[in-house]
Amino acid sequence: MSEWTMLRLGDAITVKHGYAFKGEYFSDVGPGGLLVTPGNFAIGGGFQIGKAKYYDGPMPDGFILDPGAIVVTMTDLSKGGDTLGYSAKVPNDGRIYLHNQRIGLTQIVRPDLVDRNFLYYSLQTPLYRSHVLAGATGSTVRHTSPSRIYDYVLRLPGLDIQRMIAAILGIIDEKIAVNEQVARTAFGLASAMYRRYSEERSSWRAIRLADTARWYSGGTPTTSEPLYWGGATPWISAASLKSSWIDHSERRITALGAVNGTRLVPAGTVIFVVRGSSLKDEFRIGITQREVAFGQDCKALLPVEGVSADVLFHAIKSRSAQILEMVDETSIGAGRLATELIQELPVMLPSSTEDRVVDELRMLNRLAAARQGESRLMLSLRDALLPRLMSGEIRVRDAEREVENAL
Amino acid sequence: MPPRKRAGQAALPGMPTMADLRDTLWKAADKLRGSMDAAQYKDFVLGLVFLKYVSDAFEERREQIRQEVLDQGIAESRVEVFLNDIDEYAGHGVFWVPDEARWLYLAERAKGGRIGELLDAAMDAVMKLNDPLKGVLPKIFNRDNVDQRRLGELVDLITDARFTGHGDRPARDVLGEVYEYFLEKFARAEGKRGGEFYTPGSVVELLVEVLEPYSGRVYDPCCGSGGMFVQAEKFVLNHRGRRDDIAVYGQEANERTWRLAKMNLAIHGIGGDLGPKWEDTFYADKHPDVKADYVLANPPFNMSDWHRKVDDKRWHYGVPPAGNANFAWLQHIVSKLGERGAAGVVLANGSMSSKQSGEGEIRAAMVEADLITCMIALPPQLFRTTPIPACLWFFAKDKGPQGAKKLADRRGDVLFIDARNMGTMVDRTERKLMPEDIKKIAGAYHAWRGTASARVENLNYEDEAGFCYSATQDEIRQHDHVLSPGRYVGAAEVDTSDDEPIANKIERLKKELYGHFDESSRLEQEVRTWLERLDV
Repeated sequence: MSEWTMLRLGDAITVKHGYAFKGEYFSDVGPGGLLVTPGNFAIGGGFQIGKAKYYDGPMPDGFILDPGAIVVTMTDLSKGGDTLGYSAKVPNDGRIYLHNQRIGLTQIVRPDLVDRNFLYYSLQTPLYRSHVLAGATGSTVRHTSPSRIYDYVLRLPGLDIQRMIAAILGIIDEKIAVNEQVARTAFGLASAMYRRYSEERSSWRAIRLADTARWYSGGTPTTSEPLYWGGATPWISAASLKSSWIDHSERRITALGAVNGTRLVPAGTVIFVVRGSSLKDEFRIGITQREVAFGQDCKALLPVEGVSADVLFHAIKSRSAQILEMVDETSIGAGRLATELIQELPVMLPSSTEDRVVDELRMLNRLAAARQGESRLMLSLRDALLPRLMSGEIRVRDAEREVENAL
Repeated sequence: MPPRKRAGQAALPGMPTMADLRDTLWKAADKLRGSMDAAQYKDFVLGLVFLKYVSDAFEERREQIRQEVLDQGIAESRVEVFLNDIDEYAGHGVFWVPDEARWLYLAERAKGGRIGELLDAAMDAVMKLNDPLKGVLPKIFNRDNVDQRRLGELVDLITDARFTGHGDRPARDVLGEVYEYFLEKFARAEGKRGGEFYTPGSVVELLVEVLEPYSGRVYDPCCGSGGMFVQAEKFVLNHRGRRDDIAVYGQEANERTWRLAKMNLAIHGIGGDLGPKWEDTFYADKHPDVKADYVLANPPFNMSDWHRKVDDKRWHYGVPPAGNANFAWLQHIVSKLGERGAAGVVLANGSMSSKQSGEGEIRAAMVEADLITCMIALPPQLFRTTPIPACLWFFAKDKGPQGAKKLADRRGDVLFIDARNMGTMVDRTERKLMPEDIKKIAGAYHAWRGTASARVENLNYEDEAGFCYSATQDEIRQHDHVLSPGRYVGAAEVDTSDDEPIANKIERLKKELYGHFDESSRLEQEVRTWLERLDV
C-alpha cells in the first residue's frame, strides 16, 4: 500500500496571471489568436469553446498558451461563482490560444510530487472549490488569487496511483468528448443529406411552415407552487433548450404541474425558441426525445400526417439564418420571433414519408440523441467518481498491488 | 399632354401617386379574395386592370388625336373622322376599344347586377377588333362562383385608379409598372407555384446586363409572364434603341401564365411571338426554326414531371434523366442559339455539381464543347418563393473575338463569379441585388469578355479572390467538371464550408463518423475495464 500524503499546492506548483490584452484589438471574427476567458470554462471544469474573441495586436512574449496547458479561472462573472477556480486544458486543435489576464496558468515545479493530470482533476473537486469560494473577494464579480490557490492542501497518493486515477477520469472525459463528436458529426451528416435531397430531389416541394404541423404555445406553472415542480417531466424553456435532442432540463414538473398552466407534447415534436435574448445570435431548435412540457418562450410543432419530425427539424434548422433575420427586438431588448412571419417561411419537404431519406435522417438523429444521453450518464458517473477517487475513498482494485509488484 | 387636362387633374385633391395607385389596386384585389384562390383572382384582377389600361390608353390617344388635328387647322366638324380611324390608334400601339368596352360605359353599369356579363362581352369585343389580343383576355366574369355585387365594387375601385396623369409618363409605362408590381405580389401570394411565372426583377436585370441584348432575336422557352422580354426591352430603350430593335419569341406551357404574358407584352407594346397557344416546350417546340441571338430563361427548378423523348435530337450532350429536366432545358436552350448567340439561364444550384443519373456527364460534355462562358452563384433568398439556392449559367456559341466586335478570345476559358455574399435584405425575408451589385458582377463579365461596354468604361479583367476567377478547361477537369464558383474563386474571408460540394461533404462526414465510432468502441471497452476494477 502506497502512502497518501498531504501537500500544500504552493509547495509544488505556481500560478501565473495572464496579460491585459488591449480591447481595441479585439474582434469577434478574427484574425488573430483566441483569447482564453472565464467564458471558456465549463461548469464542473473543462474547456468549452464559447463565443470566440480574437486578438490581433501587439503583445509581449510568453503569453501564448501551449496545447494541453492547465489553466484556472481567477474571476467569475456568474452569481453563484459557478466556475471560479476550475481548471481547464487548452485544446490541441492547431489554433493559437492567448493567456488573458483573468486566467491563471499553472506550472508544476515539483513533478516528482504531483502528476499534471492528477493536478488537473484535483482542481475540479468540491473540496478545492469550496476552499477557493470561501476565500473569494468581491461581491458581484468574484476573484481569487494565486496565493489563495497555493494555500489549498491536497491529499495525494504516489505518482503511479495519481496517474492511474487521472487515467480513469481521462478515459471517461475522452469518451464524453467522442460522443459529442459522434453526435455533432451525425447532425452534420444529416444536415448535409437534407440539403442535398432538398436541392436535388424534384419530388420535394416547398410548404409554408404553417401547414407542416399543428402549432402549440407553452406556459409556466406557478413557480411558487411546490406541488407543481420537482417531478419527472422535463420543462423546456429558452434557457434549457441548448441541445437539438430534447430529453432533459434542470427544471422538471410533476403530473399536477403538467395540467396547470403548461402544455405537454409527445416525443417527435419540434420545439424552438421564439422569445428571449438568445434569439439575437442563435436560433435554438430541437426534437423532443420523450414527453416534455414547455414554456411560453417556445413554440412546439407537432407534424401533421405525412410530415416527418426528423425531416421537419432539419428543414427548419437549415433556414436558421433567414429565421434570425425575422427576429424583432422587444422594448426590453430581448428578441422576439413573430409567429405570423415564421409561419410564412417555405420549407422543402419530401412529398411522402415513404421517402428513404426520412429513415436515414431519423436514424442519424437517433444516433446523436442516444450519444447525448449516454454522455449525460457518463458525466454523472464522472462527477460521482471524481471526488471519491481523488480522496482515496474509492480505490482501484489490484492497482496498488500492481504498482507494488512493479517496484 | 393638353393643358386643360393637367389643370383639371391638379384641381383634384390628393393627386394619386404611384404608391397610391398600387395600393388602390391591391385593395381591389383583396375584395374578390375569399371566394377564390390566389391563382384564380389573379386572372380576375389582372384582366380588369388590363381592360382599364386599354380603355385609358385609348381615351388618352383619342384626346391626343383631337389636339393634333385641331393644331393642324382642321375644322372641328371633321375631327370625328380622325377619332374613329382605327389606324390612328394602331400606329401608336394603342388598341381600339369599342363603345361597349370603354371603362366609363362599364363603370356606369357596375351596380346593375349584370356587370359580369358586360365585362365578358367587353373582353370579347376588344379581342375581336385587335388581332394581337385574340384568345388572350379572360372571359370569366359571368360565372356562378363570381359574386356580382363584389365584382361591381371592384370595378368601382379600379375606376378610381388613373393610369393617365402621372406627370409626363404615358399610361402604358404606369400600367406596365403596376402590372409588374401585381405579378410580383401575386407570385408571393401563390407561394412556390407563383414562382413559375415570376423571376425577381434584380435577377432578370443581371441576366440582361450581362447579355446586353441591343438588337436581334430574343427567345425564352419558358417565358412565364414575359418578364425577361420586358427587361430586355427596357435595356434597349435605355440604350437609345427602339422597341423594334429586338424581336421576341417565347413559349409557355401554362395557359393562364401564357395569357398573362400576352397581356404583359401588349401593355409594354412589345410585338412578340408567343406561339398560337400555350404549349409544353419539350412536347412541342413552337419555334423549331428560331435561331436566337439571345436566350433568357428561368426554367422551373428540378422539374421531375416532364415530357421526355429519349431520341430527341436536342440531347446533343447526353439524354437528361427522367427525374430532372434541368439539363433538358440547358440543352434545349443551347440548341436554339444562332451562330453568335448567347444565353443566360437561372437554375437550381444542384445543376452545377450534381452527378446523378448522367447529369455529371452532360455537364462535362458541355464544358468540353466549350459552350459555357460564365457561372454565377447567387446569394440566398433572392427568390421569396423557394429556399432553393440558385445560380446563373451563361452560354455562347462563339467564344472567340467575333470579328468586328473585337472581343477578348476566351476559347477554353470559363469565368466564375461568386456573388453569394452580395445583395441587400429589402425586408426580413427577401434579398435584392442592388444596382451596384449588378454593376460589379456585369462589369467583371464585360471586362473578362472584352466587350465594347468594358472598353468604354476602361475595365480590365483581373481575378479577385473570393469574387471572380477565370479558369481554363484543364482546371475545370481537375475539379471533375463541377462548376460551383466557390471552388474556383478561392477563399473568401467568410465561412467557406459550404463551398464543399455536398456529395464530398457527405462522404467526408461519413468517414469521420466511422472514425469516431472506432474510437468510441475502443474507449467503451476501456471504460468498462476500468469501472470493473473500482472498489465501490
